[in-house]
Amino acid sequence: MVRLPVRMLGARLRAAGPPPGPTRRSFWRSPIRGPWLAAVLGSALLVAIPIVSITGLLSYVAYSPQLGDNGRFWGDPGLLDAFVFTWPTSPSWLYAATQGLHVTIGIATVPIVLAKLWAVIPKLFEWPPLRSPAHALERLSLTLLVGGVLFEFATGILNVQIYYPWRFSFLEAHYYGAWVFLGAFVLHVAIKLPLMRAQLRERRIIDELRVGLEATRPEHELHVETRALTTEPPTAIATQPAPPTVSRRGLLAMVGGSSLALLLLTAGQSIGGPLRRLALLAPHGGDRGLGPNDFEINKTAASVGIDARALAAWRLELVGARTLKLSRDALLAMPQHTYDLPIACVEGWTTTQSWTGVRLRDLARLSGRAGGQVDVRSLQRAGSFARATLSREAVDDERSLLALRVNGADLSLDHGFPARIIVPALPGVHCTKWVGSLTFTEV
Amino acid sequence: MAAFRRIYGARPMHLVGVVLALGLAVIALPKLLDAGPVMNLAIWLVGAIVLHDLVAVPAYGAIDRVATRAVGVRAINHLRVPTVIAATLFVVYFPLITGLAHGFQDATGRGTGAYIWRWLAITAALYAVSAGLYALRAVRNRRRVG
Repeated sequence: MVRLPVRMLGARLRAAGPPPGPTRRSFWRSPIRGPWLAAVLGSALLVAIPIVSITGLLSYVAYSPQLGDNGRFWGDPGLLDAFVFTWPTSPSWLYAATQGLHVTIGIATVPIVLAKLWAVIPKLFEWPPLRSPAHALERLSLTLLVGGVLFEFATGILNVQIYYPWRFSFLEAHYYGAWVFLGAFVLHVAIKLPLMRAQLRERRIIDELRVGLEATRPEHELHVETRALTTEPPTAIATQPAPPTVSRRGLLAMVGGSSLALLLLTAGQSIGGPLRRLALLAPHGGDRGLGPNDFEINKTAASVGIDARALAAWRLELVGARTLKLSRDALLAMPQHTYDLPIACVEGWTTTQSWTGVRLRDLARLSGRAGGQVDVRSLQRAGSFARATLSREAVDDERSLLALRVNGADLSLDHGFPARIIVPALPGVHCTKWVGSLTFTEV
Repeated sequence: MAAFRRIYGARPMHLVGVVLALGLAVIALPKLLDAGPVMNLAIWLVGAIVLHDLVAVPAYGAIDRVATRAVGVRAINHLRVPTVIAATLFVVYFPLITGLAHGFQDATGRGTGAYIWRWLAITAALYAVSAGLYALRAVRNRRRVG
């Protein structure tokens, strides 16, 4: 028989027995921990994590990294941007919906992730630590899974609060961290799905919801089928359970209640309406007043080095087949169009306002170069998004504006005076404020 | 097939899946480590696991055991539920609640001063509701006994 080092090590460690502490099964006392609880929480994550992952990848697509140097934040993605397609401009709320889901569902999923990790923590200390090559490789991928999920949630949640206690690029780390996580996640689902389904078939959630504290039993007394299949109970089940102090339904209610609280206190910043008032802890919840310019700001003029005095002599530089300099009055003299469009921030919040300005395609025609894409440059001196390239489709959409006014008033300085870009379904950071120049490129 | 299982410890499909997942990580991990100082990224990636699995979980487990012993099984969940919800809100929104996100006001023009009061008010409301339910339960139990 072939003897592999991992296997020999495993046999030796098994023979020696676990050292005192968490590697001993008797260390873990919770009577409600076990594969069934992990399966219930896992089934919730099986819905939430794909939503957060797919909307996250869509956010990368929405940044249009394939255009101009929009992709400058991500180095060389190689194969990892093979899925990128041209982000549409319709429906106008598309990015508000996908990114709202990404951030809101992500935040509301935190309690479920933490509970799931709690339910399986004894497996981290299982003995012997490595049983076979398969076990060793799977544990390696679980390290990526747990490290990945904690890293992605932590960086994402701190980013929406403009809190950066690290020295790496958020966009780059959050994106590639997602790929590391996703591979391990898909593998984990593939391996555990049959077990999860067996657990939930054997004991339906609805049945467990009828069980109060007095009737709560450890899982090894419940799972006749699983017990028959294995010589020892699964690692997460306590061998010497303490008396229960909470029922499984109580724990699920606590986790669900925490999720619901996060959802209610966050969702309003994306959904708007009366719910915005309820978004008490969200970075961009609540009201800002009733004036035409009283809505959320992602970057104030002061924070990116915009000086109001320097704008007195502002001229828009329009570059195409010819170069023009247009004053704000000249722009106001052009045909004006008004559309209700959302500003949807990558940080998950949205605000829909009524924007008035000149169509980008009219400006393209004026430059003598219609039908191509446009490089937008801001006058801002700081911040990562002082320039952006917009797709041909974005320029061509009749609702895409160089906005001069909002809700019937001139743009305020913080909202991008003298002129800003507004394009339906475009991420807020690409709706460049304080536009200095528009360069239309060849078709 | 049986020999493969004996040596490897699982079905061949398991190996295929692991190779695909780890293969993706081999592509993505260097790009992730390219996002900034490697040490800083490593601290965050490894630190997240260590902080959660070896610090946070034992810590809240210990607090829970001490609290359960102190107040008893009958009352513990009236303490647990509001504490868990308030703690989760804090874990997610601590940069705004504590004002640690000092760049926030600069960037958005919104102060962070209100967040701590809102969180405290929500926390107080959670404990108040929980205490109310406990009192109601106690009265009902006494009646049933009496």
